[in-house]
Amino acid sequence: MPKLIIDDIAVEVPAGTNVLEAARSVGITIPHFCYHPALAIAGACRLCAVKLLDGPVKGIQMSCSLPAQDGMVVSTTDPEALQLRSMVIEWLMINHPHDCPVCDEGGECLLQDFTIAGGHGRRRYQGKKRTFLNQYLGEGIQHEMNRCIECYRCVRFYQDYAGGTDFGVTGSAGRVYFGRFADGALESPFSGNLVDICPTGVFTDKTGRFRARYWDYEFAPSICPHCSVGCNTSPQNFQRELIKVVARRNDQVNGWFICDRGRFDKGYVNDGRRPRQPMIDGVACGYEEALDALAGRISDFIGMNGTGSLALVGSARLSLEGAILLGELARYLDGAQLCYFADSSLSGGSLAAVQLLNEQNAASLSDLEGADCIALLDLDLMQEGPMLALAVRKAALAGAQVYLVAAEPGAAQKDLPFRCTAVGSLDEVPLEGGGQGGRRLRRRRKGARTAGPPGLDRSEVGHAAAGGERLRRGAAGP
Amino acid sequence: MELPLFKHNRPDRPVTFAQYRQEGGFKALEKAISGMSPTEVQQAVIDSGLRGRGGAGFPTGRKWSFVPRDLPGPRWLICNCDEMEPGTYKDRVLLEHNPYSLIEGMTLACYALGVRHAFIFIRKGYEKAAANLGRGIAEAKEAGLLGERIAGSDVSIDIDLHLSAGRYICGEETALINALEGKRPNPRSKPPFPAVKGLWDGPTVVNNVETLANIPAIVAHGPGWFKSLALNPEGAGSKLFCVSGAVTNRACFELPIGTTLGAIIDGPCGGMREGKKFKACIPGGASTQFLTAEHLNVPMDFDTVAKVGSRLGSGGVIVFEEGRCLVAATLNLIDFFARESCGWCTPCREGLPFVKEILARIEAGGGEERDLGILREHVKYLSYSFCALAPGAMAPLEGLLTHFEDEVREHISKRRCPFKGQ
Amino acid sequence: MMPEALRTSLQARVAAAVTPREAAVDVMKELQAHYGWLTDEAVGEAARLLGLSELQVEELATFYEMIYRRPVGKKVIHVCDSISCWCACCEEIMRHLKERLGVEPGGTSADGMFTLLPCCCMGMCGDSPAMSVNGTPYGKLTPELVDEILARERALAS
Ligand SMILES: Cc1cc2nc3c(=O)[nH]c(=O)nc-3n(C[C@H](O)[C@H](O)[C@H](O)COP(=O)(O)O)c2cc1C
Ligand code: SF4
Ligand code: SF4
Ligand code: FES
Repeated sequence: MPKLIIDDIAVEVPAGTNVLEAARSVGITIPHFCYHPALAIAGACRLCAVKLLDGPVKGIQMSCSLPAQDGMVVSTTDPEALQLRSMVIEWLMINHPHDCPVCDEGGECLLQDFTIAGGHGRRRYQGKKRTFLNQYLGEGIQHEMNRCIECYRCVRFYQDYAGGTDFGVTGSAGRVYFGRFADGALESPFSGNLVDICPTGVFTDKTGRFRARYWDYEFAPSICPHCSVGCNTSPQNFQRELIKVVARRNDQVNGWFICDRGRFDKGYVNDGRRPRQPMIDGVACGYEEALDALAGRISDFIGMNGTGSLALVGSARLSLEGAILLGELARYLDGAQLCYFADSSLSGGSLAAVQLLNEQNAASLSDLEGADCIALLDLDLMQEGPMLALAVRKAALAGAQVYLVAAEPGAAQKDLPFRCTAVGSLDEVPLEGGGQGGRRLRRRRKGARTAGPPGLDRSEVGHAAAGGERLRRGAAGP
Repeated sequence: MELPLFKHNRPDRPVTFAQYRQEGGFKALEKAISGMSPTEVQQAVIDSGLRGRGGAGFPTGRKWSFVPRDLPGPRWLICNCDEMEPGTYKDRVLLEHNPYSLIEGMTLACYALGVRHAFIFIRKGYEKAAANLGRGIAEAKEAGLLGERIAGSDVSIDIDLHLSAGRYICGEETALINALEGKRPNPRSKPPFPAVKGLWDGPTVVNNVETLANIPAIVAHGPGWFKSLALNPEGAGSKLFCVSGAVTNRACFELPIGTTLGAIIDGPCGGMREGKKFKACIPGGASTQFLTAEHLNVPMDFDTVAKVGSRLGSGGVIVFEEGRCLVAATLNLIDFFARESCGWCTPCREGLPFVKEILARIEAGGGEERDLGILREHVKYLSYSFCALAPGAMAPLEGLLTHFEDEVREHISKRRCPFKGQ
Repeated sequence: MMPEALRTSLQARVAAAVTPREAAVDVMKELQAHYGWLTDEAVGEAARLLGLSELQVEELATFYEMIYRRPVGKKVIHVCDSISCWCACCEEIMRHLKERLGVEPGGTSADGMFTLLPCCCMGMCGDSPAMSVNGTPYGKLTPELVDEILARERALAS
C-alpha cells in the first residue's frame, strides 16, 4: 500500500492505483480526457499533468499513467502543470466548432467542464479550423466529428473493450477520424456506450436529441428491465416522457456500461397506447376508485368460487417491484394460484435454479470477469444477457478458457465477442483443472424466464450445479 | 586507420558476397560461434563503448543487458532501417554498397541475445537496399552462415525483411513494434521498455542499421581497437555523416567519431559551395538544434555536441549558407513534423500546426511581437508529449530562438522576410 | 478482380507471417500494385485475406503515406519537399511539374498518366532535389532533367 502526499494531504492507496485515482480518493479531481477507469491507459490527451515535487519520480508527469509510489510528493496545482493543462485545452479548442448551443452534450460535457477548469479562454490561433464530414451510424447515434478531441476513448471501448470491428480510427496526424469504413449502422450491440464514453458531443443519442438539457431531466437510479442481468441505469425523464437511458456505474454488475437494448429500446415506455390512467370497464377513473373496484370484484369472485379458482398471472418480464407486489397479493389471498410462465418446463427450470443458488455459488459479473474457466450452458448470450458477454470477454482476454455447451452451437457462437470452444455436453468441459493449476467453473444458467430454447430441466440444472460445487471445493481460489 | 563500415565499398556497385568474405567478412561470426560465449560477445560490445547510431546514442551493450534471459517465449531483435528523418541517408548508402556487415552484425547480436528470429524494418523507397539485403540473406544462408545450424554449430538464426509504407513515426522504436505487428504505428508507453516487453510482448532489442553493422568489427578486432578509432578520448568508433545543403560535395562519409564539424565541411565536403559563406547547420538530422559558426570546432561526438545544446543525432548534417532564411527553413522542418505526427497525443497533433501557422505568418510578414512568446511556450510544453517526435520537432525551433532571435524579430518589425526581394 | 495467382501468393505470405496482421502492409502494397490504388474492392480483399474487417484495413491503409485510397494516374510522382530538397529548390521542381502536367499537387494529368504529390524526405538528401516516379528515385533534378524523365516514363508506359 503506497503512501504518498498529494497537495499536502497524506494518501494511502492499494498498490497499482494511479496518481489520478489516488487524488480522486481524497476528493481532488485532476482534469482528464483520455483516461477512463474501464479502459487501458492511453496517456494521449496530456491534460492530467501534475508536478512531482519529491520522491522516486520528479517533474511534470501524467497522473493517469503514473502508478502511486511510496514517498511521492504530488502537486496538482503547480503553475507549470496548470499552464500545460491550459495549453492542452487551447490546442483542443483550436479546431472545435464552438457549437455548444446546438450540441446535445451541452451541460453534461467533460470538454465544457475542463475548458473552464483549464483556465483557457482567449483564442490565439489565427489559422483556419479543420473540418470533417459526418457519417450515418444508424438510428441510435448521431455523429458530429468536428467536436472530436481525439482522446481515443471511443475506439478503445469499441474495439478493445467490446470487441467490435466496424468502428475505429483512420488517418494520422491532424487527420485522425473516428468512424466506420462507410456509412451504416454500428454493428456492435454495445455501440450506445459511445454516447456515454465520449467526453464531448461527437456521439449523441439520436433517440432523445434536442428535447431538454441535463438540468431539466428527472433522474432515478434504476435497473434495466430488459433481461435478468440487472444492469444499473439512470433513465432521464422530462415532462413525463422517458428521453434517454444512460448507464449507471455498478462494479459488481455492469461496470460502466449497458447494452443497446437497455439504452435504446424504450419506445414502449412512451407508447401512446400504454394505459396511463386506471380504468374500470374502459372508463377512466381515479386510483382509489379502481383499487376499490378491484378488491370488490376479487372478493365477489372468491365468495362465489373460492380462492382455489383464482389465478394471478404475472410475467417473467414484470419489474421486480411488480413481481413482489403480485407475490404479496397471492400470499394474502391464501390458496390463489400465482404463475409467471405459460410453460411449466420454464417455470420448473427457473425454480430449480433459484433453489440451488445461494450466496456461495452465485457468481456476480465481476466474479465472472476474474474466472479461469467458463462454461456457457446452452445459451445464446447475446440474446439473453448481452452484458454477460462483455464480462466473459474480459475473462477470455485475461486467458480464461470458455466453453459453449450446446447441441447446435452455430448461431449462438457466431456473434460472441470472444473465442470459445463448442462442446456437446458439460462432461466435455475440463472441469478438474488439467491446465494451469486449479480452474474454477462459473456456471451460466439459461435465464429460464426469457424466450428462446426451452429451459433446462431440473436434473440438468442440478448436474451443472454439482459440477460447480465439486470444483469450488477442489480448486485453490485465486 | 581503416574504418570498419565503408571499407568494403566499391565505387560503382555493391560489394559481392565473395569479395566480402575475402576481405575478412563473416570471420567475426565464425570466431564468435566457435570460440566465444554469448555473454563474451555482449561484453565486447559493452567494452567497445558503442553507442546507438539511430539518434539517441544509448550505449548498445547496456541496452542488450536489459533483456531478461529467463523469461519463457521468444526474444526478438529488430533492425531499424526506417530512416525518414530529413537530412539522413546514411543507412541507405551503407546498404546499397554493402548489406553483409549488417547481416553479420545482426547474426552476432542474435547470438549474443539468444534471439532465434530477427527482423529488418525497411522504409518505403529503400527497395534497392531491401533487394541487396534479400540477396545477402539468401547468400549467407546458402553458405551456412545464417539459418539452421550456423557454421555447423547448434545455433540457428533467421532474419526476415519487413517493408514499410512510409511514415516517419515508424522509426520510433515502440511505434515500429506496432507497425511490425500490423497495428497502427502509434508509439507505446514506456515503461515497459521493449527490452522487457516488445514485439508480440516478448523481450525485444531495437537497433539502428549502423549500430549493428559495427558489431562484426568490434568482435573481430576487439573493443580496444574500436575505441581507438575515435579522435576524442571519450569517443568510440567511426560515424557515418551524411551531408546535404550548401556544401560542394554532398555525400555520406565515414569519419572517426570526434572529427570536428569544420573538418567535415572543409575536408571531405570540399568546403562551402560556390563561395557561399557558412551560416548555420543542423548537425544530426531534422530533430536537432542549429549550430552556428562558433561551433565549427566542436568534435562530433554525442556528449560534445550535447554540451553545446544540440545532438549528434543521426549524423545527418544540413548546411545553411549566409542569405538563407532560417525562419523559412524552420517552417519547412515544422511542416514535416506536423505532417508526420502520428496523431496520438494533443501537444504534437495540435501544437505543431499551431507553430506552423505562426512561423508561416511571420515569414509572410504578418508576425506579431507576442508570437515569440507563444513559440517559446510551445518549445517548453511540447516536451510533455507522449513520444520524442514533438520534442525533436521543437529542437530546431529552439535553436532558431536561441541563435537567430534577431532574424525572427527582423521579420516581425519589417513585416516581411528580409531575405526576399522587396 | 484479383487474379488467382496473386491471391495464392498473398495467402502464402499471410500464412508465413508470425500473425496474419504482420503481413498487412505487404498485402496492401501488393494489392495496390495490382489495382493501381487501394480500391474499396482491394480493401475488401485485404480484409478477407487478413481476417480483419474492412474498417481495420482502412485504419492501417490511411495511416501510411504510400498507400493510396483514392484513384491515381498510371504513375505517381512524389516530389520530396523536406529540408535538404527545400535547400536545393524543390519548390522550383514542383512549380515546373505543376506547369508541365497542368495540375496542382494531388491532381492527375488530363491524360491520366501522372499523379503529382509531395512527399516527405526520401533519403536522397545528398542528391537533392529528388523525386520518385512509381517508386523509381531520381535525384539532382533540374527542370530539363524533369522533362527528360517525364518523356522517358511516358515512353516506358506505352
Ligand atoms: C520520431 C522518431 C523517429 C525515429 N526514427 C528512427 C529511424 O528512422 N532509425 C533509427 O535507427 N532510429 C530512429 N529513432 C530512434 C529509435 O526510437 C531508437 O532509439 C533506435 O532505433 C535505437 O537504435 P540505436 O540504439 O541503435 O540507436 C527514432 C526516434 C523517434 C522518436
Ligand atoms: S469521438 Fe469522442 S471519444 Fe472518440 S476520440 Fe473523439 S472525443 Fe474521444
Ligand atoms: S509526440 Fe504524440 S502525436 Fe506526436 S508522434 Fe509522438 S505520440 Fe504521436
Ligand atoms: S488523462 Fe492522462 S493523458 Fe489523458
